[in-house]
Amino acid sequence: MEYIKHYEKNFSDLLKTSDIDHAKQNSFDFFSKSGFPIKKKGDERWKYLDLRSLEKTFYSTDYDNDNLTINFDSIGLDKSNIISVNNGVPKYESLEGIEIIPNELYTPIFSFSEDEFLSLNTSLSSKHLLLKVNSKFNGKVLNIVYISDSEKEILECPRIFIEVEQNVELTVNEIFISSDAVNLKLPVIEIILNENSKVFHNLVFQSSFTENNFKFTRVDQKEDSFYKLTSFSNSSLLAANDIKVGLNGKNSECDLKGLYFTTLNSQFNTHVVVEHNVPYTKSNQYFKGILSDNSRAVFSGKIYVEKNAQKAYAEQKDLNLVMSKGAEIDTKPGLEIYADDVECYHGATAGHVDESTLYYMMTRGIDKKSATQMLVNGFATEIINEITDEKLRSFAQKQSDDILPSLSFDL
Amino acid sequence: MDKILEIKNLKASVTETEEKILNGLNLSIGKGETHAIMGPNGGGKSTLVNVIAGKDSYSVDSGEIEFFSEDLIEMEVDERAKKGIFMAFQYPSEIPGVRPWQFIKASVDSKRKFLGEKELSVREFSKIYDENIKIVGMNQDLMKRSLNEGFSGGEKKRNEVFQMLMLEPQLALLDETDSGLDVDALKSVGDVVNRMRNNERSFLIVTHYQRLLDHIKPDFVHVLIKGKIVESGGYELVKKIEENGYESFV
Repeated sequence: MEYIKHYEKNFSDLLKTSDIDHAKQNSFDFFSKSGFPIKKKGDERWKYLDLRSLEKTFYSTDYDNDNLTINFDSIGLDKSNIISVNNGVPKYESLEGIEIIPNELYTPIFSFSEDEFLSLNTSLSSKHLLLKVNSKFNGKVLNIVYISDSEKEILECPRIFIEVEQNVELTVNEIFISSDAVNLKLPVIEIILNENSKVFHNLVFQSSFTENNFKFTRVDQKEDSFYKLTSFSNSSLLAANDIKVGLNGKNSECDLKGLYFTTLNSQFNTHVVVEHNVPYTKSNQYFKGILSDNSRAVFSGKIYVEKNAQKAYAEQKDLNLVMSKGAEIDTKPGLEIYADDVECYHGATAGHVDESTLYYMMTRGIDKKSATQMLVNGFATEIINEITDEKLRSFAQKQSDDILPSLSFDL
Repeated sequence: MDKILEIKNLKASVTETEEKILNGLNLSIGKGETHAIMGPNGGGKSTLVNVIAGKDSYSVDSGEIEFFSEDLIEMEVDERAKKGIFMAFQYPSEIPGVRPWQFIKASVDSKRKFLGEKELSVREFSKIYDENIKIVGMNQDLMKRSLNEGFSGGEKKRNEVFQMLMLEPQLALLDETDSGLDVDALKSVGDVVNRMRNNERSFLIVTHYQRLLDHIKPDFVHVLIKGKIVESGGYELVKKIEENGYESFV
């Protein structure tokens, strides 16, 4: 494959400027053997999506433009505690309560071989950040803002590793700002929650019809820790929200929620895995999609319960509103349970706006279009309200309000 | 007396199955009148009120429905509502993520706009909203949830009556609003209807039972069997039905 040769050159260029790292080499070997997961049989995550465009573009890893300014007023975020990731390159100032160590070798909490995009990120990521959050940051908000404005096609491989000290609680906001750049983003964030720590993670993807964005979140939870992720995605050309949480300590709990809008010809993939690896753990997955035009969304979720992980409680739900004839959702909930004393629930739906509810609303004098918008807004709001950061929640609600009138309801 | 609703020889069927439900029904409701429709299951009671409200899963095959002398049959559901028709549902929909306040404000705004009336300020609206909640005896905490979500059957019915109070219709259709209600809730629904009765407003109440009608004492009672009104009379007809059942009318 020609594009693999292209990345081979990128990789060898990178090796010239940095130390040889076996993990990088192994990752790249994995990627060069597999390539992008295009129409990969048996791979539920990617097989329903059209990834062929990735073969045709030769993305550059030459990061030359990292001086972008971000219009924080438009997001309504505080200008403090910001890490900006500009065309894939992180920029930051010192933060009280977070020790930032750039480019330090560390052991990732996932294996590069679980995914081709992850392996490409692992091999080509050259500027990663290690953040050690201590009690001085307790109760504070860390904002990670991704922005691109490159005129050439850049491969962005940002990588942020956050370790939260025990008993510390923080909010992590991640925002992808809309841009006209034509980049391929492969951002990876890893979070370790030590004993009794709490992380409220909010993730917002603004719409971008020129970029491809495959976003990976990997979480490792120790005893008594709590992790909450709420994601909001406004349709993008091709994007993924790939989440994996390991409940590795007793009484650890995670709550994962997300809303995805897909319009026009956008494609969006949500992939969620929760691993219950020890007894007394709890998880919830609750995702919703609103699909219109010729867009496509995929949800594949898995609850995995290890043999000794007794008394696990897990729920998983994916609900979809399909607004147009041309839109398609492939949703596949999944359970893989090896323990016998567990409580697990899962379910998925794909439907149209409920006619009898519309009728009910219209008997109150609300016209069909307004009633539909109100219904869809209500459907969306349930998830948006879960965004724990007030400013980001308003930002997402405004995004949602802006999308609704433009959605086509042709069913 | 001025007519509000005039139904002539109405035949209607279920759109999807073409099953015929109403078979030449005649009904005339004057201003200020309260009518009750009683009848056995499957006789067409719910179909009748839904056809008047405009539900499109029913098709009008022939006949006329006029509301203030205007043909209703081709009119959209929301337009009928804005012109003054209200329906209290037997099974009100739950609407996740939509608050009762937001829903009823949108409804009232829409109707006022249609009628060329000035939109109520939030303050004016809230005042009426709070008063009506008290009148109906709605639980305030419930009204902070999503509309009808987690409401009991009785609370949903109270909420229907609350919406009726807010929208001040010219013609209110109550589709088995009394079913599943305890004695207190039943009385409260009856009280609201009585309170709203005046020379300008009419009611069409569909019910299986005498008990709501004992509170309301309708002006006219009709027996609907196999899609036709087979007998009409005053309140005394209710007693006759309770004593003899519907079989005596067949």
